[in-house]
Amino acid sequence: MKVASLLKRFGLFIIIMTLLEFGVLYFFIHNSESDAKIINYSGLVRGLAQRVFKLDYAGHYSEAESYELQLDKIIIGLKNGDESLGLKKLNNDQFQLLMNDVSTDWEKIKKTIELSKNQPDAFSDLLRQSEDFFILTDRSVRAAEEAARNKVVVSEAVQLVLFILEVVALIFLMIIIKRRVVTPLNIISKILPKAAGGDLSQHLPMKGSDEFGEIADVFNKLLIRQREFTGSLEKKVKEKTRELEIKIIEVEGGKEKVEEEKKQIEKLLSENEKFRLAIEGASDHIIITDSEGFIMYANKAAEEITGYSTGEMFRKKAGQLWGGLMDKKYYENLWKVIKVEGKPFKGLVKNHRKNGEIYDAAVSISPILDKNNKPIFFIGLERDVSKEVAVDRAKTEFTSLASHQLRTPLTAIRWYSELLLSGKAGKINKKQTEFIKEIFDGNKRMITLVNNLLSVSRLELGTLPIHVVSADLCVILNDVVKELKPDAIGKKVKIEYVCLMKKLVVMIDESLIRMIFQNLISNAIKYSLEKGVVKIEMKSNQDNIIVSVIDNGIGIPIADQKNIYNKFFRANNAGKIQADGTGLGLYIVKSVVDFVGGKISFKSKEGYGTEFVFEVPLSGMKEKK
Amino acid sequence: MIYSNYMKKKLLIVEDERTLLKVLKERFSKEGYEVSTAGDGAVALEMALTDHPDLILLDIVMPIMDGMTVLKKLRGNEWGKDVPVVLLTNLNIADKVADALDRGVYDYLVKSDWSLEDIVTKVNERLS
Repeated sequence: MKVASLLKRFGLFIIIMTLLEFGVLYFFIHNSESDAKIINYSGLVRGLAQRVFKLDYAGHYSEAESYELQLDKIIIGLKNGDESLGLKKLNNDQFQLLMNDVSTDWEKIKKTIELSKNQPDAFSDLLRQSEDFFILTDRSVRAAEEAARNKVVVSEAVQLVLFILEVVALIFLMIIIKRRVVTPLNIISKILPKAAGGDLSQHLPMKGSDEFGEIADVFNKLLIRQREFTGSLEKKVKEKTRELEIKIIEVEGGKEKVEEEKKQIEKLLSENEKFRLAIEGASDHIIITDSEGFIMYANKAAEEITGYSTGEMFRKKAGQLWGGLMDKKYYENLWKVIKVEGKPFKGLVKNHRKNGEIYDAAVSISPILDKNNKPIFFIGLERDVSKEVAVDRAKTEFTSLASHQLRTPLTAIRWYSELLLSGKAGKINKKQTEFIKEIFDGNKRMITLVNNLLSVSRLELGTLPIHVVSADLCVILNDVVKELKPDAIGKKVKIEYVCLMKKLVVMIDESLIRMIFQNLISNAIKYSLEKGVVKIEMKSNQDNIIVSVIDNGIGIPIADQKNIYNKFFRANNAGKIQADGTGLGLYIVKSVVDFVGGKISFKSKEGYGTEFVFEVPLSGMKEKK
Repeated sequence: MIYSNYMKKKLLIVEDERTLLKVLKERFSKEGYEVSTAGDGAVALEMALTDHPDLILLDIVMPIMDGMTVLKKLRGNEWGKDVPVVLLTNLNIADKVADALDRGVYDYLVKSDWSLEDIVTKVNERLS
């Protein structure tokens, strides 16, 4: 039961009590006036009756009548109540009985009085009646008094009871208040500060469904939640503290590591410094750019070679400074290789210095890749190779000049000898023919030598061009054999050749193949004996053309075999059969075969003959300028 | 037919080496051609465009204007673009050869490697 409702009920109770009291008081007080009047009038009846008797006795009948009338009224009023007299009916049985008797007796008395008017002896009856009457009226007075007294007693009793009830109720109220309000409040006032002060183990013991029970419930729940919160907070704090402790340990451990690392870094830095100095002092142009080609670093050599200062180079591209002279495709390819493919680029490039001077450089650009293989830096190395290029150019020019200049007189001698020998410049005798032939032959040897020297020089320079075309090898072989036929006929040597394919059309450089054929077949003829046979076989497999040139000539002595490809080398037995021979032929053949990515080998036995076999790759001949 | 056969074919030989020019002229005249000669590229071009030879034997290394330039200019000409040209030179640098073949020469002959006779055969071959 909620305290509030209890108190309300008590309040209601008290109010009812009070109302009752008031009611009782009012009731009795209200009637007390009437009761007093009844007592009074009851007493008055005797007095009035006596007066009536006296008057009647004295013969004052009319005066007596007025009193009689009064008395009538009063008696009736006493019995039934009379508002004009201020009398209320008294509900007392005894009084009512008495009043009935009074009323009855009065009626009798009145009759007697009437009688007495005429019969003076009626007075003795009247006297007797009046004495009874008076006894009655006295008794009625007493009854009225008693009734009134009773009422007072009752009302006092009722009031006492009510009073006691109220006192009891108040005592109960006090107990209840003490038990249900004061005590809980005390508990609360004791416990709350403790809880507020931090002692979360506190607990309000009030149970029950009243307000304090609810408060206790809420309070306890609050405390539980607070405990939980604090608990979890404490847990978190503990965890964090532990973590921190671990971290501190790590840091402590790390400090040692850091010291060590510092030492390593210092070491690295000093080595870095060495590297830096090395790069700075290198004689090659070294630049480092970002992934878009903007220069971030350039060494001294770069400044000297390009003519730009590092300040001028910083954050610019090479193309804006010393580059840009090559055609667009060159730079597009360069960029593709280093940026898209992430591979190093090597090449020759023409650049121009700040002052406009053009120079040749060998360039090597390497991308530095991150772990996703994307370039993050480029390192560009350039070497000014103008001198080398110039030397190369000079060599090439010399070669071509030599070839051209030497060949012209050789051609002249050839054609004039030819013309003379043909007889178209006039008839010549046998001796003249013979001698001119000597001139012609000697000249032819010189032409061969010049051609060989030219080839050798080109091979050594690496400037032998490879111009790959689709060509029929059988046709080339045919040509070469035709060319060498006169030499073969002179020695009565037979040339047999077999093309094992009907048509052997491959992508090759004609002049290089021709060179190989010419040298091998001419050697075969040269070192054959009279009536010897030179066989040429050609076939192809999936990857290569395989050519064999076989003769049954003098062969190569074993001692000389290892040197046979050397420049200017002639085997011991070679000079005996053929005075002329430069020793360049096989050197050229080997070089050319190597150059085009092929293979060459031979088998030979002195006195029996030689077989040379060479292979050239069908696919391997790459175009070269 | 007979008339065209009777008419001598005109040959323009361009060569700066006089000694070679002489023997070539001698041989080709003997062969029955009407031979005109030029010693440098500029003269050669002028003569070609004027005389309209049936075939030109062209050297490469020449003063004033080299053979390749002559060839280029020739090929830019309405008549010149079709005239058969045989390059007679002592240069045998392959890229020059390729270039020449691109410009439509009939052949590229290295003088020192060719006998006079074979050259004559070549020319006859072309003009027959």
